[in-house]
Amino acid sequence: MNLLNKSIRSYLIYAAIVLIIAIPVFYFVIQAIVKEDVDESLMAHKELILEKLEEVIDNNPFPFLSAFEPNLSISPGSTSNLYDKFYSISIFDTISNENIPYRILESNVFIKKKPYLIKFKSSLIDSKDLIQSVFLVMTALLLAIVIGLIIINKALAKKIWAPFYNTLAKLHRFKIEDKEPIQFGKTSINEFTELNNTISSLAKRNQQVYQSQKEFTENASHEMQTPLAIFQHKLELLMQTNPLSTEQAELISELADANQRINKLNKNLLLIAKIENNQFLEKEELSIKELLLKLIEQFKFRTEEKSITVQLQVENDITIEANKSLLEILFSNLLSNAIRHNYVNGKIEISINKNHLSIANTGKEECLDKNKLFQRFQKQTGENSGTGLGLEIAKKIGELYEFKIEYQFVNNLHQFNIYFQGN
Amino acid sequence: MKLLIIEDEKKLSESIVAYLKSENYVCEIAADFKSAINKTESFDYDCILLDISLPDGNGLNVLKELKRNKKTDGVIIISAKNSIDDKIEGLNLGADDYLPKPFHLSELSARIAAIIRRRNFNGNKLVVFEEITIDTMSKMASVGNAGLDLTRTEYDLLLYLVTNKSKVVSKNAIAEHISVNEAEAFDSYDFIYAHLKNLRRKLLLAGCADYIKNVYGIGYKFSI
Repeated sequence: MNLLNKSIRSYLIYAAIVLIIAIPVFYFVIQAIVKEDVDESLMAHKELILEKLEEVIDNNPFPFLSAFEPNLSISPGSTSNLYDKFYSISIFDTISNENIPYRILESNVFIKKKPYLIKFKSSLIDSKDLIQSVFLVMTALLLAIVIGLIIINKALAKKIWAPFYNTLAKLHRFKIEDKEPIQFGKTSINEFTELNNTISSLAKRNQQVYQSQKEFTENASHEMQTPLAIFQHKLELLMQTNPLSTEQAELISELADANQRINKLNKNLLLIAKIENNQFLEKEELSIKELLLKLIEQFKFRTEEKSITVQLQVENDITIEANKSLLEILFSNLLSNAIRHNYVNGKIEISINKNHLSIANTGKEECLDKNKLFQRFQKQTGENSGTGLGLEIAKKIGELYEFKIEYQFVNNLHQFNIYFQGN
Repeated sequence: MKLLIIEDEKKLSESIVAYLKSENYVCEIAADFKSAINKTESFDYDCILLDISLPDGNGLNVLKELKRNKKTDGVIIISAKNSIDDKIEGLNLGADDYLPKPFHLSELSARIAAIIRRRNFNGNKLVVFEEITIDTMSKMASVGNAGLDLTRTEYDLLLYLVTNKSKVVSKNAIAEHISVNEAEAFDSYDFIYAHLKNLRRKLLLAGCADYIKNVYGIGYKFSI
């Protein structure tokens, strides 16, 4: 979860709970207050009327009363006790065509020793409107406060955390092979300044270590070239000596093979250093299909030797801009592996479609360890003829051109997929 | 044929001389930039082997000097750097070939022979060994008067062995020479064996003596 959302979420939950509880409570409280108020006024009204009734009751004023005081009805009461009773009812109003709530005060009183049942009623329609209005205004106000608080909080948090997000974005873009040190903007918050400084020095140290390691590999490989050449030349001269015994010849042959392997290894290490240093600047438009056809032809001897069937399926050709030698090395390494780790009468299936090339081959029927596959010197088969650098080189070339290279084991085939970005 | 080897590593220049002297080449050595300039100014060479990283100067400047003096010596750059930029610059400056270290002496010998043939404007472009004639212009080979129908690889192989005649050429050197693709030249030597078998069969069919000799599994030797 996003940092900003996380802090705001607690506020939101709290605000929602308060609103859910406060709004109905508020409504009922107002309603109760209004009811009490109405009851009091009915009571006062009753006292007033009773005084007046005592003066006029002998003249039988009931028809007048009902004419002038529609909210008052008097009828002869029962002889039972005196009582006051409040209740609410709804009366259907034919004019406005709706139910109108009324508050009723029913009183059994004695006027001049005779019992009367008096009913006072008071319309609650105005109070109802009032309650509704007050309620609405209050709800709106509460909502406005809560929403406003959240917005302000969010904006504030965003501002406070801005340097943090800035740092995060820079770290995302950071590449250890960059020579430029990582730069952060200034921030007024001490903790962030400290964080940025720590990250800066960490990154710098890593860059230096990476750089010196890279230079070491490169320099070591270069320095090795001359003694390797001397060794190889002397060996070639040794081959020319006469007489040469079988025993000597065998030793020379083994030395020559070992020498050849060191040469290859050294060449590949240099190649990796060159790819990392981005020394293959020359680029051209290349057709993947043509390149593969050429390579399949070049590897024909090897595939025929092992009776391997090679199938090439092209749905649509892909053209990409890249260095030709590098792309050839990339595909050669994959093809070479597909042949080397194949069995006699095996097959290689190559397919090109959309933005993706797949090279699949039969071989040992078990999935290879994906985590180790692209690391240097991680040989997972008994085959010893490889340098253990082929897939690392493939990966480096992939990284250079932002191709994604993946391995999977499907249908008993070892499949390498290259996804060409943006093509 | 006169060669100049400009190389500061004494052991390397010595081996090159030792390998090439049997080919009737006269080899001279220049171990630094200064003596290289002196020698190239005073003499003409059929082919110059030029190491571009010299202790007292860049070998490419020797090339520039040659060009300035309108010299037409053949030049093969031998470099430990194997850098594409050096290669392009060297070839642009008029070098004939570029050979990254470490290289096989048999490969060097073949390249020198090729340059000398190419520069031999009025002479013939034929390489002859006993009854075998190789026309390097048309890339055809024949035994006596009978033309041989060789594949491209077989032709390359024959020329390579003949230019290194009477020498043991290692399997590695052959594999590297005839492989178009570097990754391919690695796994097994069976393909060399197969190509050689075909070449030998074609030569024998054309009535040629069997000159291709396997030397104890080290490599092959083309000799009487």
